[in-house]
Amino acid sequence: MKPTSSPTETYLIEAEELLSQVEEIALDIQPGVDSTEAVNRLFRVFHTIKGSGSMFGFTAVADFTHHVETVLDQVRGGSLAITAEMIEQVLAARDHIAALLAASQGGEAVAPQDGERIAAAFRALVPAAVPAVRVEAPREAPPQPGTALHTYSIFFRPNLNLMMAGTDPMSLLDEIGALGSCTIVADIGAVPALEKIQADGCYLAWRISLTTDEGLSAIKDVFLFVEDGAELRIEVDPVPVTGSGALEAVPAAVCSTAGQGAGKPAEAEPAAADKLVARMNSSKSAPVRVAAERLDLLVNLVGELVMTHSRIAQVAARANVASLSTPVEDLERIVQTLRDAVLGIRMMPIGATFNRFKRLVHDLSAELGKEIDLQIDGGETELDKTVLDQLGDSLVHLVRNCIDHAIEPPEERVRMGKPRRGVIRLAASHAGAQVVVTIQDDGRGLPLDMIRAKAIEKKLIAPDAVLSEKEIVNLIFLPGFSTAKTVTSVSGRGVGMDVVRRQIEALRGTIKVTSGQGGGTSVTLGLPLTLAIIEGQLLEIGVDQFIVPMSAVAENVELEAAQRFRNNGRNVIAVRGEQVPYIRLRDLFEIRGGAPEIEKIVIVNHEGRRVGLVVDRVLGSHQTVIQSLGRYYRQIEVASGATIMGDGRVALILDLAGLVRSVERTGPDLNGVLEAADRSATC
Amino acid sequence: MATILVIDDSASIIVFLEQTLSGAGHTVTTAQNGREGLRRMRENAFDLVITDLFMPELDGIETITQARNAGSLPRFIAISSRDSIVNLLPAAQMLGAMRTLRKPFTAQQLLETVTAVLQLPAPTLRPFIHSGQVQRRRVV
Repeated sequence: MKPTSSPTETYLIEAEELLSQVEEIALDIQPGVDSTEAVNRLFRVFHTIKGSGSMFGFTAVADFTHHVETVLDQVRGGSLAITAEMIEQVLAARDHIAALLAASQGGEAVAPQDGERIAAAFRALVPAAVPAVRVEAPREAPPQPGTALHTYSIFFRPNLNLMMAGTDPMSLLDEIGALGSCTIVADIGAVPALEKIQADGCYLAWRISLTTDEGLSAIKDVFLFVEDGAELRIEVDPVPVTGSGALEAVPAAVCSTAGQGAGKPAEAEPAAADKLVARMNSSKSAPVRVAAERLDLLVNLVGELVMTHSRIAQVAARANVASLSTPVEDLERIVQTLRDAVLGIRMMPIGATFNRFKRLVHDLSAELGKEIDLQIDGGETELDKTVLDQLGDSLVHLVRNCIDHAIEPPEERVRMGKPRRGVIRLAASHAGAQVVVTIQDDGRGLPLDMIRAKAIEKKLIAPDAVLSEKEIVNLIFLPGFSTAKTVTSVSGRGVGMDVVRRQIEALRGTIKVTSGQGGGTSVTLGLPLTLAIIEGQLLEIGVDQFIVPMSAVAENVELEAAQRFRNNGRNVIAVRGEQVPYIRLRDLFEIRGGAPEIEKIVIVNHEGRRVGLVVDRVLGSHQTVIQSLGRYYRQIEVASGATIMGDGRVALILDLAGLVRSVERTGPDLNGVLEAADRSATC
Repeated sequence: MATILVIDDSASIIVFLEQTLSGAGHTVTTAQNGREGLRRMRENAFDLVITDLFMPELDGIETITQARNAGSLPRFIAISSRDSIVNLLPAAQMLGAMRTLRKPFTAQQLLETVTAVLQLPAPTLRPFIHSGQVQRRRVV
């Protein structure tokens, strides 16, 4: 097990989180709109980056962040207005801090002039009248061990008639406070009942803990004139204070701040305490930070537990012992609850991933002279962390495409009667066992003619090919297809939509593009909730078992041997008038032995079309714990993983996309069938 | 050894304080903001509370004040940044923080301060919280 992480490691994680908050907050600020809370939050975030950074040796970060903090403090205090330029500088500072942190971890070194340039920009934001708030001041020397600092414990109970003598006890305490750092606690134990109280009597006593470099006599001097009839004890703490600058003279001006800050009168009514209790109880429980590896371990163990349970269930069923069935059922319930709970821990809202795009859209649209708003919907939708992590690259590519290709420059939009500002919408929602993520824009749509011309030029299709609109759109997923005339820094180089499709398919997801000419483009991703356990349909061919994800299964139909030969050997079956191509897995996998008289066809949805998989038997649904295939089996494209069955056998989990691809490639006859069926379905 | 509550919104500072203080044999409880800190103080009595001053939700000044007003009497140490523009440490002292630590501080400085504070008598009385009157000066 991994040891508890060090403060430095924690700081790096923390700083990363804080920096992403900076981005989010800064991009939400609209000049002119009240941004007090946002500025406060920004200030707090930079404050923590600086303070904690200084603690763990990130002095470059702490020093640099100080400039940002200074400017933000002025904004907070109202002496500076927040401007668009300031937001740009905050973002630049954020990037610089990120670079400094990366450099400290052995990343690329940061040119010092970068930081100086940004710091100078920040200093320029501060009006000259305010001397750049200690920015240039030499850093205070590190705290030296104190030499003559002592802590005194003072108890002072004045004469009852102190106030009648014209002395204000508060001024005495004030003088003590001026000697060093002190804590004063009042002793109200001697205050009598109301009817016995003498209005001008001083019944209070004070316990004072004073840390000062002044001698005992300086303290005694304070009480010089009030010792008559008073109780005064002064004890010196034997341990001299060697700590840091714990000692602070308490200037009177600060006392007044304290007064305002404290604000609460001592005689707090009892109700206040009750309210406090209520408020304490209502606050939310704090989240716990756990290393991802520990969660992975937990998920693996739960997976093993699920598999072991199904083995026990099978043994129990075979043993046919009545007394065993109840505990096995109980176990099943517990295992399922545990599984859901553990997988639930790994679920994270997609919002954080979406929010990262605010910056991307902001920066890239500025670079390209476009005006684009990013809308985010369904940010609370949760997905498995692994899926989220691997989704990022694809989303970046898709959003970049929107910015670069789809959204028109403002002038062109105005000419076309569209709103000047383009809109990119990122949305997520649940749909069954899937999460649907859409990336939508209101740009110019896919140029179908250009795609077609390009495909012909690249010899991907025949010049006279008859293609439906959907087929033309799908051409962009072909390897090596890219219509960008020039490689821009925005859309990347060489990475086409085929890579995006591969990434999404690797996640067991689907991708679909729809376009309306001039009416925007919409990319829809269907993603599994989790990569660890899926609901699968268990199939059998001969003695081998296979699993297809239940989310893909549309229906099961029967295939009689006679029917098979009726279609002139073409692997197509009519289901309610619709031609569905099918793949005989027995043939594809070269499984020996004869097929039963009546086979089953599992019809699955794949990229918007229906494909049948012919098997011997359909055994039912199965909670499938996905185990990845070993290194040597990676290149098998028809299976995406495997699972261990209750009886210890291994069942392959079929990869539909890979299966169809492999059939299209290896079997020209099947390919023709698939295409023919596709055409008949779309025409 | 003492029971210590650590309140800070910075995860790394919490880890640092927790590891340093536990390493010295203290029992450490942590809270990420003042509100959570107050809840912990209700649940348990602590010998010492170390609190950051500048925090979201409920800042350190308010935390000390509310804890005192609710009758909670641990010793307090307040933490803040060395070159903070807003220096809240003196204010914290006025409210009953027995010592203050300014970031950056070392593990040794922390332990020395904690040891010193733990040797001070714990506040045992219903406290009187200083308010604005403190600044009134005797007019001579």
